[in-house]
Amino acid sequence: MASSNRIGDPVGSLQEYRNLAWKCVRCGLCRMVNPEKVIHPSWWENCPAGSRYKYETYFAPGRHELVRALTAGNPELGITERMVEAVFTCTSCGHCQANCHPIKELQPMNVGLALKRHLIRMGHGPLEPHHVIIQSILNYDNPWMSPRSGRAKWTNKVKQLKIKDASKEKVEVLYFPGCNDSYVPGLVDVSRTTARILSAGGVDFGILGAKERCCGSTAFRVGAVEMFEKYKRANVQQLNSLGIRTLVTACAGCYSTFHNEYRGELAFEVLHIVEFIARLLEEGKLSFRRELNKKVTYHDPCHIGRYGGLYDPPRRILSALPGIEFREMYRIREYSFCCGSGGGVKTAFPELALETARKRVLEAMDVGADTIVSCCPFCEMNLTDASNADPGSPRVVDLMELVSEAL
Amino acid sequence: MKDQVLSDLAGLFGPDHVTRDEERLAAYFRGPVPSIPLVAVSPSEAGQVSELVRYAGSQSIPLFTLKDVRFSVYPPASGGIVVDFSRMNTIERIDARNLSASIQRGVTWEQLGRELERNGLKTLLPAASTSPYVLEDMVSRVIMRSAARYPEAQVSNLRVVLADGRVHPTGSHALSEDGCDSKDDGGPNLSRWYFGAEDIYGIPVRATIWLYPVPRTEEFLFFGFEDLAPALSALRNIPRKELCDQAMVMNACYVRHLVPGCTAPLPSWLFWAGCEGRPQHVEHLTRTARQDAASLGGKELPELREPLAPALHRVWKRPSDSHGFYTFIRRIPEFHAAVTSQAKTDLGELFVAHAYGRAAWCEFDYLEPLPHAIDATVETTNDLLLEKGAYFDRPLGTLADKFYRGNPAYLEQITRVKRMMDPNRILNPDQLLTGV
Amino acid sequence: MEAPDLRTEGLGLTVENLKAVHEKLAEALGPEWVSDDPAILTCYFRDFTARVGKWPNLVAMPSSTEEVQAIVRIAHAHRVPVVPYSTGFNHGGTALPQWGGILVDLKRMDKVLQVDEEGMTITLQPYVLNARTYAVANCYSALEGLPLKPALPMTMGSASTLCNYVSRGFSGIAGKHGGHPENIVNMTWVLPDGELLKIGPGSFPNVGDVPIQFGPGPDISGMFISADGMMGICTEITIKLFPEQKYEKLFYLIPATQGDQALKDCVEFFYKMSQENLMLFIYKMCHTDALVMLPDEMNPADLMHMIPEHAVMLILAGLTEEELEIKEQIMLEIAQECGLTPANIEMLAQMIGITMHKDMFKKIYQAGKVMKPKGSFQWIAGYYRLDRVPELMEDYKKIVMRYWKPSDPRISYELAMSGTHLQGPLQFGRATTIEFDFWWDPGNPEDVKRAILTLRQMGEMMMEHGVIFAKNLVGTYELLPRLGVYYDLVCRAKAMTDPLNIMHPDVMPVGGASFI
Repeated sequence: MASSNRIGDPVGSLQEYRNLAWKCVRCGLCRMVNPEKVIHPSWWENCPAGSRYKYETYFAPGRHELVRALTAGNPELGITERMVEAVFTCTSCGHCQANCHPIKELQPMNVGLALKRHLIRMGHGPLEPHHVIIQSILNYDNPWMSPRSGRAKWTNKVKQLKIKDASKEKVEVLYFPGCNDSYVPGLVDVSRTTARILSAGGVDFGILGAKERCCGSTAFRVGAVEMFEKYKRANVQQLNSLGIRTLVTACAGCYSTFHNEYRGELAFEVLHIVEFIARLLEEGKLSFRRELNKKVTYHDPCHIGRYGGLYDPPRRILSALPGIEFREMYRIREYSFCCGSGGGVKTAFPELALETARKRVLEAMDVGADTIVSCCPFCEMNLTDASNADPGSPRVVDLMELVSEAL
Repeated sequence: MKDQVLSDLAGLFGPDHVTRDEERLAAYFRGPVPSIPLVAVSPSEAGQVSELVRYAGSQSIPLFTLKDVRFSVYPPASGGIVVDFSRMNTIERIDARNLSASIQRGVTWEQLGRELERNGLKTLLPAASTSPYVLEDMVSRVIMRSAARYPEAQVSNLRVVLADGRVHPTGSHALSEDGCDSKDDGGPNLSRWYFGAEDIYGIPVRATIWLYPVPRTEEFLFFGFEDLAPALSALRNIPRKELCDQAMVMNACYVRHLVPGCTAPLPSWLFWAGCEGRPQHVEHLTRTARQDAASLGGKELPELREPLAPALHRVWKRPSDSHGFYTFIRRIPEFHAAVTSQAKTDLGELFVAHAYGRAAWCEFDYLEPLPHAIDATVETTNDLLLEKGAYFDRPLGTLADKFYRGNPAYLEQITRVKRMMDPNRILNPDQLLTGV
Repeated sequence: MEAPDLRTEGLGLTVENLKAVHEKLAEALGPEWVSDDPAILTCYFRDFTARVGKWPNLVAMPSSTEEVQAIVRIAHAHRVPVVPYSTGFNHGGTALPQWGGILVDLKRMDKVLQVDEEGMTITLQPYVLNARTYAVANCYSALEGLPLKPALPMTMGSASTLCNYVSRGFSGIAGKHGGHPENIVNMTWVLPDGELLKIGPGSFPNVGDVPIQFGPGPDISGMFISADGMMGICTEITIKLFPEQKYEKLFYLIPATQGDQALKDCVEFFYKMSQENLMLFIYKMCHTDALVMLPDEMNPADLMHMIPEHAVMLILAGLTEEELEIKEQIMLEIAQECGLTPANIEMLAQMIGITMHKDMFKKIYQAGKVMKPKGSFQWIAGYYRLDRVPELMEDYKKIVMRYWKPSDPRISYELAMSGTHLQGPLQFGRATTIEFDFWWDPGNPEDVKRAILTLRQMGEMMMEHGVIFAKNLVGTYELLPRLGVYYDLVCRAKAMTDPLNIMHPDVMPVGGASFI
C-alpha cells in the first residue's frame, strides 16, 4: 500500500512535476526535522545531502527549482556536473516528502527520483559506480559481482535447519534474504539468524537459494528505471509460480521494492521479517529466555519506515526482548535521520554516506546506547563503517541477531 | 552675542521670550555662569523651533536644548542659544481608547498627571527622573518604576525638528496620525536614533506617549531585609514569576531621602513590590509574592504603607550627583561594594528590576549635604564602575568620552550619523560627546 | 538639502571582474563554498512572493562573521552587489537579488552561540530556525520549574529567528512582550565596507549581555532593522527569552453577531483584553484560516455553519492552575460584555492541531497550508488602530472580490480566496497588526498579473487609510517615497552607510534605478 505521503508511489516524468515545482515556496519544512518533532536542539537536520553541501540545490527546494528550469519552454538550464552531483547525492530517504506532502501536497523526493531518471535519459547517468552495479545485476543477478552459485552459501552453517528449496517444494512462506544478506560478509549472519528464528517459530518456509535473483532495488534507486522494469518481469514470473502465501525478507530494500515497485503484480503478501516476528510473538509461537543486557537504540530504516510505515513492529519486538534497556534517539519514526547510504549514495559518494552515518552514530551515543539496532542491511553496513571509524562507538547489529540471541 | 542676533531672535519670539539676563541664565548651570556669549529663547510652538533652527544654521550659532534643566557638559567658548521649552506646554490630545497622548515638550509630569487623572488614565512613573518634562525623561529613557513588567521606552512617536528646520514625524506618523501611533517606521526603524541622543540629531518638540488605564486595584508590598543578598533574590525571582509590575530594593538612606517626613523605623534594605489589576488577580499575585519574599527571609512591613504613601504616585527624581547604570542583579553586590568603598558618605541606593528581573537599574545617590570634593569622588568612582563593566545609560562629559572609547565602531557610527544629520554641528555640539 | 544620488557609473558586473571576485572568494572561503554553476544560481532568484529577482552571479557560503567580512570586503573592492540570504522564506522577496552579484547564503552559520539564564537571552547565528530556538531555550530556566522560551514570530518553525527579528516580524505574544525590535539586545553587523559593527551592551568591555535594549547614546540599531539587507549583513543576534508559565489554556471565541458587527465585537474584545494585560496570545481568525487548515477528508461546506467569518483565538497562561482559573473568569466576563462566547475547542484543536502557544510556530503551517488551494499566498500587512479596522475591511473586500474568485466549488462565499487576520494587538491594544492574504498559483501567468495588481491596489488603499506597513512587502516598497522627510533620511542613511550602493541595491527604492 502506498504511503499516505506518496512515498513509494510510481514516479512520473519531469513535466508532470512542473506545476508542483512552481508551488515550492521555500517554506523550509523539507530542510529540517518537522518542527513539531524537534525534541533536542542539536538533532534537527533531516537531509543528508543538504546538511553536507548546504547550497539550496542540494535540498528539496533546489530540486524543485531544477525541474522548473528544465521543463521551461526553452529550458533555462543546461545539465552540469554540479547538477548531476546535486541530484545523485540524494539518498531518496523521503524525509523531505514526509514533512512537505501533508502540508503542501508536494513530492520533493519523487521529484528527485524523476530528476535522476531524466539525467540518465539525457546521457548523464548512470554514474560510473552505479553503472557497475547495474551491469552486475544484469550479469550475475546481484550487485556484488559475485557468482550466482554462491548465493546460498550462507546455508552451509545452518544445515541442521534443513531449509526447503522453494523452487522444488511448495512452502507457505518464502524467505527472501536478498543480495546483501546473501553475499556480504558480516551480513550473511542475518540470513542464518533469520532462518533459525523462522525455524524456531515452526514456520513452513523455504528459500530459492541460487535461483534467487536480485529484486532490482539498487538499480531502481540509482535511476535505472527502464532496466529495472525489464528485469522485474522475470522476477514476477518466477515468484508468482511458487504458489507461496507470503514472502518475507529481512532486507528493507527488498521489502520496499516488492511492496511498492512490484505493487499489484505479486500473487502473495509481502512482509518484512519484523512484521512476521511480531505476529509470531502475538501468536505465542516464539518466546525469549536469555537476558541480553544491552542499552539499545533503534534506527528506523527509510525503506521500512517512511516507505512502509513499519515503526511499531520492531519496537514491539525490542520491548519483548529480556534485559534490553531501550533508548529512543531524537529523530525517529517518520522523522528518522537517514543513515546516508540509500539511493546509490554509498556507492557513488562514500564520503557523504560515511559522514552522514557518523552523525547518526553520534546521536545514538548521545542517548547512551551501546548498541544500534536496525533492520536494513544498507543501514547496517553504513552505520558499521561509521562505528568502526570512531572508537568507542556503539556496536551495530541487525534486530534478528538480538532476537536469535534471546531465544 | 551680537546685537543683530538678539534683534533677530526677538523678531522670531517676541522680546519677552529672549533673554541674556544673568540670573535667568544662571538657572542653567550648576556652577558659575561662564563668560561666553549665551542667550536663552522660549518658543511657544514647533514652528518657532523650526525657524530658530534655520536661523541658527544660517548664522552657525549652536543651539542647546538642556535635558536636565541644567548643562551637564559646559557649552563651548563660542556660546550659543539655550532653548527653553517651558512655554510649549500644551497637551494636544489624549486618546483614552488607544491609550496614547500627544504632548509638547514643555509639558511637565505634574501637569500631565493632573490631566490624566481627570480622564481615568495614567503613565508609568520614573524612578530616576532628570527633567521636569515628560518628553525629555522619556526620550532619555529614564527607568520607570514599573520596568519589571514594562521595560520598553514609553514613547511611540516624536516630532523632531532637524538641523535644516524640517520636521520629521517618526514612526507611523510619517504617514498619518490617524492610522495609529506605532513606533515602527514604514521602513528601517531609524527613528530610534533620536532616543538617548541628547538632541544631537534633531530636537524632539512633541511626543506621543503611552498611557495606561488606572487599575481597578493596586497593592504595594514592603519587606524588610537586613542583608542585601536575599533582598536581591526577591528582586530577581519575584518578577520572573510575573507577580508584580514594580519590584525595587532600596536602602534606608534612600527611603528617607524619598520621603523626608518618614520617621518609621526602616530595615537596612527594603524590598518594594507593586501589583495592579483586577482584585481577584491582585489578591492571588500578592499572596504568592508574600510567600516568596517571606521564604527568602523578608519581614513584611505593612506599617510602611502610610508613611510611604506620598511616594507611591509621584515622580522620583534622580539627584545630579549620582551614579546610574544597568547590570545583572547577581552583580549588584560587587558594584555596591565598589561604590560604597569610594564614597565618603552614606549613599542612597536604589535597584529597580528590569524586564522580569533579568537585570536591574542601579542608582547610588550622593545626598545633601554633599561631601567635600564630590566631583573628584564621582569621577574616580565612575572610572571604577567603567572598569567593572557598569552599563551606563547616559554617560556624559568625561565619562562619556571614556565609555564610548570601549566601542570604537559604535562611536564611529554615531559620529557618521551626526555628520549626516547635522553637518554644521549646530545641535547641541559636544553635549553627548566631545567633538560630536 | 538634496539627497545624494546613489546611481553609479558601473557596478562591477563584468565577466572579468566577476572572475577575479570568484577567485578571491574561493581563496577566502575555500573553493567548495563559492559557486557560479547555473544549477546553483537558479535556486536563488524567486520565492513565494510576486517579486522576482535575478540570478546572482555567484553564491558564497560563509561559516563565520569573519568570512562574511571577507566576502563583503572583496565585493566592496570590486563594486559587486551583495545580497544576504538565509532560508529564502522571505516576506517580500527581499532576499532576491535585483542586480545579480554575490548572494551570501548563510546556511552554514547555524549555531546557537550562547544562552544566558541570568539575563534570559539567547545568541544566535542566521540559520538557527525557530523550532530549534524554542527547543534550545526550553532547556534553560528563569527559575526552577519555569523554563524559558523566545517570543517567536508568527511563522513557520522552519524559518530563521534572526532574520525575522531583523526584518521586524510579528511576534504572536507582542501584546504582552512587545514587538521584535523591543526584544533585541545585541546585534553584530558586517557593514558594506566589510567593517564590523557590534551594537548593544555586549559590545562594551566587561558589561556582558546585560539585556537592556537601550544603553548609552543614540540607538542606531533601528536603522538596520527592517532594512532588508541594504545596510549590511547581520551575523549574530542576542534576543530576550521569557519565562514560560506552566499552565496554558486555549480558547476559541465566537461573536453572537454576524458580519461587520461581529468584527466590531471582536475588536472590542481585543481592546478590553489587551488593556487588562492578562493574555499570552490573541489572534482574530477568519473562516478561511480554519477551512484551509482542515484535513482533506473534511468538506468545508459542511462546516461553514460552525465556523464564523470572524472568531478569536486566545491563550491564557498562569503560573498555577489557580491563576489560570482567575484569568479565565476575568476573560469570560469580558467576553460576555463583548458578546463573544467560547466554542468547541476540541474541534478546533483537532482541525488545526493547535492547543498551546508553543504549537503556534511549530504548527503554523499557515504559510504552508494556506498555499494548498492554489500553491502560494500573497500578503500585505501593517499596523493600524483597532477601532478603524472595520472600515479598512470594506475597501479590502472590494479589491479582493474584483480579482479573486474561489476555485474550490465546495466553498460558496466570495472571500474564499483570501483571509484577514488581526495578529494580536501591540501592548495594551494601542495598535494591531492587520494582515490580508490571498491565494494564487505562481505558475499561472494570469495569477501573477492579478497578484501584482491586487497588491498594488491594496497598498494604495492601506496608505490612504493611514496604515503603516509592517514590513517591506510586495505592493509596499514603491510607496516608501511617500513618507516625506523620513524617506529622505532613509536615502541619506543608505548613502552614508553604503556609498558604493553594493549592499542589496534596489531592494528598496532608495538608491536610484540604474547603475550601469
